Amino acid sequence: LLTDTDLIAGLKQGSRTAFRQLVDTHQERVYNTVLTIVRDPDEAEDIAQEVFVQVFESIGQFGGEQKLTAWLYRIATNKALEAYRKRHARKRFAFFVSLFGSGNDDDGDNGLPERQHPANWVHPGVVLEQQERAKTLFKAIETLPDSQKVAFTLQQVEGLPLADVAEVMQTSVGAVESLLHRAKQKLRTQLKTYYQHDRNA
Amino acid sequence: MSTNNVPDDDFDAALRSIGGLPRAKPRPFFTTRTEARLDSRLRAAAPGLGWAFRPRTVGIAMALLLLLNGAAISLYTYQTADATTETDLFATDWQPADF
Repeated sequence: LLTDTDLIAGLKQGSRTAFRQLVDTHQERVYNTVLTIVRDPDEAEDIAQEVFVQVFESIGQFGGEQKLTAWLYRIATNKALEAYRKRHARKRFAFFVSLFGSGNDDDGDNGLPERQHPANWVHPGVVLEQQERAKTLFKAIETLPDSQKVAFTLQQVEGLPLADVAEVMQTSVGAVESLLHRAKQKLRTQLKTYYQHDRNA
Repeated sequence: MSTNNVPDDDFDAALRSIGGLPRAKPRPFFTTRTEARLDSRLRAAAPGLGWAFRPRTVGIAMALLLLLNGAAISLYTYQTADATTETDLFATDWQPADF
């Protein structure tokens, strides 16, 4: 296996072996991060592939003053957020059209296609007895502002240390802590009704 | 209890439910599909015959074609004029006197 330095040098020379190793080594972390943000396996795979192709194409711009994984995470989160925003724009448009249409779209909430509105998505790693709880939490995470969503996903779901999250987001550890604090506060507020209802039931 | 009246244990349990999850894996042969995508991207980016159909190239080619045609016509006209003159002279030389 190539070291990170050799891997980057190989990629800069257009080596297919280096590209294969890059994908083999990092596919799970890229796919997992993207999936948590876009919540759709097909779209997540498409974006993850696009991340690796972009890395290959723009490796010349990689300075080397940061970690390769941090750069990968940054490209992955940017692409995932961009796809998420596009999907929401389509979702708003579909909703607008459905107001004037026949309203017989398939299986999603509010007559919207499920692919554009995966309300019931849950991370495949969540164990069965925790799925209901996790599903509600993931739905709430979707409503967080982009920076809070990225910080929360990287730290809570990907399990990155604060320093690594800060490197990915090109900010300070203190700023990441602040983002996480605000994200948790917001999630707590959003989930208040659900938990109270759950307890009463 | 928190300041928002959400039971801490419930929220913490929710956080724990997504903490330390095993990473989701893409479908098998992800690397192969990614390499195929890279190949098609590189093929599309490779210089093909697209340059031959650019307006500037087409314009230059047309101008060159017209120039060559003009030159060919001029040369032919000049040569034909010379040939006619020689033929006339030859015909005059051999023409019978009473003709």
